[in-house]
Amino acid sequence: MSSKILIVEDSSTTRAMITSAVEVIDDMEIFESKSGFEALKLLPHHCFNLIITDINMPDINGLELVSFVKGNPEYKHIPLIIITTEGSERDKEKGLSLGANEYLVKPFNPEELQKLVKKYLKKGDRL
Amino acid sequence: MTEPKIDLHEFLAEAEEIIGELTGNLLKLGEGIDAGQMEPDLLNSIFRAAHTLKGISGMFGFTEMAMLTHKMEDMFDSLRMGRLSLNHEIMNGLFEAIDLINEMLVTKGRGEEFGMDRVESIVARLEHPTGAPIAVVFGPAEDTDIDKGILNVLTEYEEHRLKENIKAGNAIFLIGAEFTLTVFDEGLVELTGYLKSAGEVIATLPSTGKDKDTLHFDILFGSHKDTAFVEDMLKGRNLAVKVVKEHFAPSGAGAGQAEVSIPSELRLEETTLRSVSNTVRVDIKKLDSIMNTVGELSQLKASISHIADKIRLEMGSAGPAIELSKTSRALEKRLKELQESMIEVRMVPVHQLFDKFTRVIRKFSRETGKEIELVTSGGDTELDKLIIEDLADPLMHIVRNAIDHGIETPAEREKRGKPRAGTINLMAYPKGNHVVIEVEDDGRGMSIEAIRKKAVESGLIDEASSHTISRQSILEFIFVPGFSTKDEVSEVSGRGVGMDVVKKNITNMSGTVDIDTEEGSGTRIILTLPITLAIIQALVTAAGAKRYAMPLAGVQEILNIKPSDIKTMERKEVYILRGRTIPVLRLEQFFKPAAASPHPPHGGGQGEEKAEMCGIVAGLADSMLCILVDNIISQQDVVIKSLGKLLKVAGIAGATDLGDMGTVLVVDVAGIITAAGRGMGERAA
Repeated sequence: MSSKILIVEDSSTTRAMITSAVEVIDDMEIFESKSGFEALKLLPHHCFNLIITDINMPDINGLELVSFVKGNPEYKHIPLIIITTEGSERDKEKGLSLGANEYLVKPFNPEELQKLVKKYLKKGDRL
Repeated sequence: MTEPKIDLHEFLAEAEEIIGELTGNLLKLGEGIDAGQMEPDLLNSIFRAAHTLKGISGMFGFTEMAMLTHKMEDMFDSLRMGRLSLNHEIMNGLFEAIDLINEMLVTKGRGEEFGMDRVESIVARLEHPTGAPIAVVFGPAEDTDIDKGILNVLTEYEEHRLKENIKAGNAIFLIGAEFTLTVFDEGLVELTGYLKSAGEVIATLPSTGKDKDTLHFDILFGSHKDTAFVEDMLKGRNLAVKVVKEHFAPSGAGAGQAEVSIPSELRLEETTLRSVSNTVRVDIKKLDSIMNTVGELSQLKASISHIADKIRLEMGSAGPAIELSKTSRALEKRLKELQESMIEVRMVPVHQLFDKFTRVIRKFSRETGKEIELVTSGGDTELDKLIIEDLADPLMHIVRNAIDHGIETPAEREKRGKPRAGTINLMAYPKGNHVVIEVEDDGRGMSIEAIRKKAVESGLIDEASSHTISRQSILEFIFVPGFSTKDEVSEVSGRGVGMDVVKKNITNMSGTVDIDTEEGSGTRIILTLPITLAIIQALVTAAGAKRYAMPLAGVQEILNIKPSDIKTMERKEVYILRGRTIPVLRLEQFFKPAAASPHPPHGGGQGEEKAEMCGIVAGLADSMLCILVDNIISQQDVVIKSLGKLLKVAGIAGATDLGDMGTVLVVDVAGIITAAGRGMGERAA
């Protein structure tokens, strides 16, 4: 069974980079949303196995999304990785305290991201 | 390390797009520098642009660009977090940095490398900004009723904005909105756009909705408007509005706005890009200034009539002279219409004020443990916005009194066979040229006997007379300053604390206060207010034994005049102002020529007792007049009340109540000039 992953990131380049990093993993179905709003709309329609979200976004920010996901009995089991930039220590900590499972600091190493994704999806490399 | 598999063009396209947006926003931000304004939303989106640029250039391993954008991001962060204030030098540095990024993008696009040396010089400039660093107070967003759960979700920046709002004394609201999953984004955009007209949307927090297909949003909103205003603007929108922090600006600070009309029924479902109503909000000061202009136009009109009269005198009633008079009369009529529509624009329905009480009563009820039901009626009755504003405090006082001292505790009420919940009736209705506002409660009422005793004790009346005066006259004692104090009369009389202040406030608006009470069954306070308030700035002057208010709009200058300064030319008194001869008019004599003794031609004699008088130079161009008064007492806002159609006196515009100084006549400067001009013309002829 394929794993559904939701990427929430307003920068198209960063989004493409995250996607390119995770699509090498076996059997992935990737959903991209460029805002928190889009993510909120996608959430009820798919059973996501993992969410990767940026913090700094227009409309609702990543922390608000984390709080929404982790505060909702339907979604709170979904592992969540936040991607922050260096310097925003407090936001990162808040994200973790709200229930985010991991964080990654931009610019991230694609291998590191792959490792995290595999850890939460319990997947091996593509054969 | 696995190389990112994305195209360089992806990066270049996004970077270019961001730079374009950033430049535009930076220009907008620059416009506000001199005014000291930094739009938080604008600054935050600029920060995010730099943040994204930094992120993507870092991901691509473009070190120079990442370094430069990192510095920019730091600077925008300091600016948005209020640690740094923006100036032109910082702005110039930022624009240079953007130029450099543009060059970098071009170089990257060609697949070339960009030198590091130029980057370093700009980075150094961005690192040591010349702007004054601002001390930032750290600490939790204390003293609010905001749920910890919500504070935890705020980013550092949102927390900062919350603190800034609190620091500015803004009211903070938590607005709960429910939307269906399919259209929530449109609904939210519309709602936040609407909210932004009255403040700042600090954060939008999503949570699970009531139904499976709805989403709930808590919007943290800060507004410089008072809470009632915001509650009013959100009425009918099906939102849960919670005040988490009250406005702390001094009372009346929110009084600057006149709402012409507020769309009260806006359905969220009807999301449209069209503006939601065709009403405008106008600062009442602007209306005042239009009003002033209208006043000045009246002055000009007076000059025109004067010229028309002069022409008629000199040329006889020839065609053009008559036409000019006619036109001038038509002008007068139109001016009056203009004035009337200006007054109409200032009118707002009383429910704007009544609605505030609904919330306040709930709070009072909680505080006192009394059960209170508020019934309002006549909310559509209209009153001048300024009266509504000035009415807020006295009315609050009356309602507060009714709750504190009038309405009994539920237990006490039951014992007396009354319903547990006390009722307060707020009523408004028009009555002739006035609006009556009544506050009625079904509480314990006042004891006439207690008031009578207190009046005798206070020496306001002797025991014997106190038995002969009417019930109403005894009630009037409530309004004597210092008569009713909380620890004395109020306990027995049920009401009356600070009623002297209420009376003073209402009288200042040319209103009256009446009381009706029945011991054991309740009290009714009746406020009668003028519908229209034409507030003008006036000079209060003394002339002879009388005082007159003179609208400031017609006054050119004020001079100290010695009796010897007044000359006589052709049997008329004149004053020479900078080589110009101006007729002199003694205000005292203008209004009672018959009673006054004939004035000595040189203004000596009688003038001896007053070494100096005040000359008020009024009018325009040809029709200038120097109005002599004994002295000027004050300059103040006065409300002109018409004396009615039957009492038309030349030179009198109406009367005004000056509170302590009693009622005085308001001089119609234009009328006096016209009358004086005619008088002089006749004499000259």
